[in-house]
Amino acid sequence: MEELPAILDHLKSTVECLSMSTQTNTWEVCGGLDRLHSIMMNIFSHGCLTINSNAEDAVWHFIQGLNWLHPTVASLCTFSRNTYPKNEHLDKSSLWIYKSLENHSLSEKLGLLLSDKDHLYKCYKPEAFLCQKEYSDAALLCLRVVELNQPSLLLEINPKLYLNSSSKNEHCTTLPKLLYKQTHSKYFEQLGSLTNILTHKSFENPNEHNMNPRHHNDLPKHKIKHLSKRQCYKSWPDIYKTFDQLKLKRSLSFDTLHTSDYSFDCTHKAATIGNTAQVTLPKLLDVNYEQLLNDNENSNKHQILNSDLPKRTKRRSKLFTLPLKILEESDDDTRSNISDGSRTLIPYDEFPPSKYVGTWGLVSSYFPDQDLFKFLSSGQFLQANAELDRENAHFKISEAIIGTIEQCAMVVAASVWPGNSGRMSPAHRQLGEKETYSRNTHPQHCNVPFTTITRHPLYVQVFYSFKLLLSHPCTFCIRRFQIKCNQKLKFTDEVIDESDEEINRLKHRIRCRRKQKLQIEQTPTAGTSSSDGLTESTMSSLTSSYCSTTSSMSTTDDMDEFELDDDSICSSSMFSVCSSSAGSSSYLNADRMRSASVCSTVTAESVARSLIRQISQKNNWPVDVNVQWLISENDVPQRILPLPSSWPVNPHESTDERLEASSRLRGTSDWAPPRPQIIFTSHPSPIRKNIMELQGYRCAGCSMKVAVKYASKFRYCFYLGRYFCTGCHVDKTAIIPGRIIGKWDFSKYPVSCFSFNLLEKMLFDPLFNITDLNSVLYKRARGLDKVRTYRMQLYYIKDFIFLCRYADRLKELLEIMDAHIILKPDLYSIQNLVDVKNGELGKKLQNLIAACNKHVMNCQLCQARGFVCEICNNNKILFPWDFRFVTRCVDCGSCYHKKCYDSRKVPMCPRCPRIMAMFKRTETQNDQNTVVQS
Amino acid sequence: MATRKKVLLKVIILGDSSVGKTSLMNQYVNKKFTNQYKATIGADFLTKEVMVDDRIVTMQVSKPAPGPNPLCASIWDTAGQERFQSLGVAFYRGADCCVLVFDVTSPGSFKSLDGWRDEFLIQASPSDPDHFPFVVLGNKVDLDNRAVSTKRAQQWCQSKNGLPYFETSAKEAVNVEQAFKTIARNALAQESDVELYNEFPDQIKLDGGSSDNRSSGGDNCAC
Repeated sequence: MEELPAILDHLKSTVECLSMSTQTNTWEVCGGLDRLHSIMMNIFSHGCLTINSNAEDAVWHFIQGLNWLHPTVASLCTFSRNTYPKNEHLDKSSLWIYKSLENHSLSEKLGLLLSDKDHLYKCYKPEAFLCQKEYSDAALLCLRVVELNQPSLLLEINPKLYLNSSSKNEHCTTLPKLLYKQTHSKYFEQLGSLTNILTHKSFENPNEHNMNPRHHNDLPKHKIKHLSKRQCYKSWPDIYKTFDQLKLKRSLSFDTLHTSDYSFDCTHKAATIGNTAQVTLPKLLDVNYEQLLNDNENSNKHQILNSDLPKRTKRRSKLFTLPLKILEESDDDTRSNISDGSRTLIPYDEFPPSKYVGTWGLVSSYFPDQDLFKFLSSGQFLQANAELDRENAHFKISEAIIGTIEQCAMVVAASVWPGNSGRMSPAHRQLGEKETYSRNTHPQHCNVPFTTITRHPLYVQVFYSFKLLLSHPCTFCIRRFQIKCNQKLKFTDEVIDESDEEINRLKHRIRCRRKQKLQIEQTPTAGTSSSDGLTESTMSSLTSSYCSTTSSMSTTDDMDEFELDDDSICSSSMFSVCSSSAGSSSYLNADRMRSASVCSTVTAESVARSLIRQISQKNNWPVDVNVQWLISENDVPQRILPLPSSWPVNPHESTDERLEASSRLRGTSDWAPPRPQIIFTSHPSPIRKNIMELQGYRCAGCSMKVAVKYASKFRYCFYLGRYFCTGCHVDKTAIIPGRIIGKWDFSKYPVSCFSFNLLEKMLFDPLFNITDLNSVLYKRARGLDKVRTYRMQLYYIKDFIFLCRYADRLKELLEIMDAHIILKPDLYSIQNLVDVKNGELGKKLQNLIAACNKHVMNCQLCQARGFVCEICNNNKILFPWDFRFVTRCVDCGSCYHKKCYDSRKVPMCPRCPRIMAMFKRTETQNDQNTVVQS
Repeated sequence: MATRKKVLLKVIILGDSSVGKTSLMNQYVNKKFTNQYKATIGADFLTKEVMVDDRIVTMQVSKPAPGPNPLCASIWDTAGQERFQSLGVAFYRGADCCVLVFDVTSPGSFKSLDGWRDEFLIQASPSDPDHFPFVVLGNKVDLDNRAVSTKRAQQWCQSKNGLPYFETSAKEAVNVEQAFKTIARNALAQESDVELYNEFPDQIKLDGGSSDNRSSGGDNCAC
């Protein structure tokens, strides 16, 4: 029984490792398959009733059950042993599992096997892994994650199932404290320098660019990796250690601890201990606050921002002023300077996703007033894969969560503390005012001061969760959020009144908890001995989420805010999907290169979803929260996120992908990364000088600046109408949709790599309504006009075919067509237009219509559904798609002979007045009825 | 008349949506009833062989979909049904009898009968509109909340040259058999009266050959 959590944990972390990895060859080359196989073998043989003291035979006996449980599936897995010479040493059952894993069918087979309880209990002891329903279900889920490649499924596994193993693991491998300290001190100095780098990295300003490369040069890349890995594992206890020192300094008087002891600057502590070792932290913090206040009073904040190379000690305080500054400014839209004269549209403005249009690659939008959870789970959101929008999603999610949670916290706080302490010092009050300002955007304004809220346990827990969100590998993207949090944090620290008994009690509790934890936490150093070369992946999720917490602390954090009770541990394990990801990604904070690659699989929405799920279980999360999307674009000026000097480059990615990654850059007021625009018009012929000036002599793709005399080297992108450097524009050519629509011009023009990829993505998306965009084109392009006629015919015919119970074959033919071809006669994708040009679409539609027409002519039912011209009363049956002879009333849909209709004195449908009359009559009837009833 | 080998009677059931047209048809042909309501989209028909006055007659009972018929007010506000405006009512032509159905619990459906009758006569354009056999059915008599009295219905039928009137329940199979027997008889009478109409076929054939050629070769398909 006791090893079950361990097995599940093992399985889960391996699956995580597999599914999170962005490399394509983990499965076969890197041994993912073998690893999973050995775990599955372990599961299969766990608690197996041995027959003739041979466990493997018994497993095989269990597997054989498939033959009668589901013969068709069983037949699929018959294979000859000699085709897999590599696995000759494996026995039958093992080979079966291997093969099933390889062709992604094990979950199905195992599910079938487990469905028959009698068979199961015949082969296994009641306490076996497979006999425990929740464990076997979890294992099935893990297998499905691998088979379907959906890491998000892992969230559904109840963390309690494998959590036991984590804590147990730590207990049993606990090393003596002394030993821990010995092993640990080795890294101590390295850590100090590393955290310095981290601090630099995560708070780099444009002014500091010159500094960073030097640091890079100081430490070779692999060393950084190594160090940061170490740091992730060790820094948690590390911080405790520093905390211990502090405590000693403070003579362990918990009750009289000064607020500043809750230093939010853990990193700084580590750094100072590593380097200068004897800086007294409280003092340092006091200075920060002083500076902060001064800065706030100082109206000239821009200057500070732009001042040259600030002193390192000053940097932190300066950073803290940033959010305040933002709040005071109402920024104009600096989002993009690609405001071209041509008609451009963001996809979702024009085409709300509908069942007709279907979902396609470019849409990424949330709908205000949507339930947050539903929004995060919706396919709409998940399918959004434009990288820029993905990046923005982090902001949206963080803000949405903050808003919703604070809304809850407000409500709770209002009910718990109806009164107001009102014990703020003048300085505090000043900050409080700022705070009120910042809260203006919030949905509910209770009269409860912020102070009380920060003390509330819920808030504390939520805060802890924020930290986890922050520890997301995409720290780069979340930076703004961090700043926001830092600001909050600062207030939290500031406003805590030391004389408040309650808060002191809470502090005390936290400290006691932490003390307990400290003992547990010393184990990871010894964790290496607990597993077989899988050390990283088998790190318990608990520990790894701590790792992530600590890695986020390496920026600026205050762990004193955490209430480390069992629930939050549980909650933290929910995050293991994002944070543990097999140890390989937990040190990504330092390693941008990897972080860029991981953020594609480890998504903020999955983090947010698990966060919400956890909170809503514990607290009364409003069932249908109308999330107020708090921060508008105006509140989030891009200039606070300076341009980096470089960006992550994954050597495993090809050149194209790397260039795509450039869109993860946030941009500044001078420059913004290209957005995935759909441009319907062609640009006027470019005048290099003008456009380059407009671009500020920067590459539109990567913002690289170019000297005026070399501007001629830049290349023009005919899609975006901008100049790009030779890195972002490698003279790829593509068809420009604007030119097709404008001039029926299908020739290929040079485009930037970004545009090339964008155009490739939208190749099959039905985005172009020719009637709206340029209806003259129908007259100019005969082929297009023909296709329009065909598509209109098909539009009418499809009703007959889809409703006819004798036309199954034709229904299939219609269904394989793109939906928009039939349902939206005016919509075209680029590919459609190309097919029109080369005549393929016309031919295809013509054949389809001929086939449908033939059916309708010979089908009794379809004939019955035709029309009769009631003007000439001829018995000949008319169909709406016979455009040559038939006219169709646009209002009621009745069909008439063209010449009959035209010969009428009043060109009006004879049936419409009858319908109107009837309609009126029923209406008056209804009115009468209501009168009678009333 | 005796030489006729086979008689196919074409019966059209009309009425507001959800008065129970499909249920009546189903009860008569298949002896089945379901409480579930599913709007018919597109006209459909069922056939049944019956003995009428010692003659075997194949009844083809057709009913239109309420969707394309604008007489139900709902068509104007539901987008879903507008999609099927491209379906017509050519099957009215060549009908031998028309059954007008209303729901005895819904006065509105009773008042619509006039409209349905007129619409049918225009679309079907029978040779003798004044004597075309209609049969009126007041359906759902099993329900308690009756709103149209028998007397009122009978009065209306009298005013239209004495149309036969039955009160039926498709659910409990009340009067369904008798009603359709009358329908068949009246239709048969109509059929024998107008013998020139014996060219009405199983299918309405058009000059299909030429249209096929055209559709395969030209820009437009034609019918």
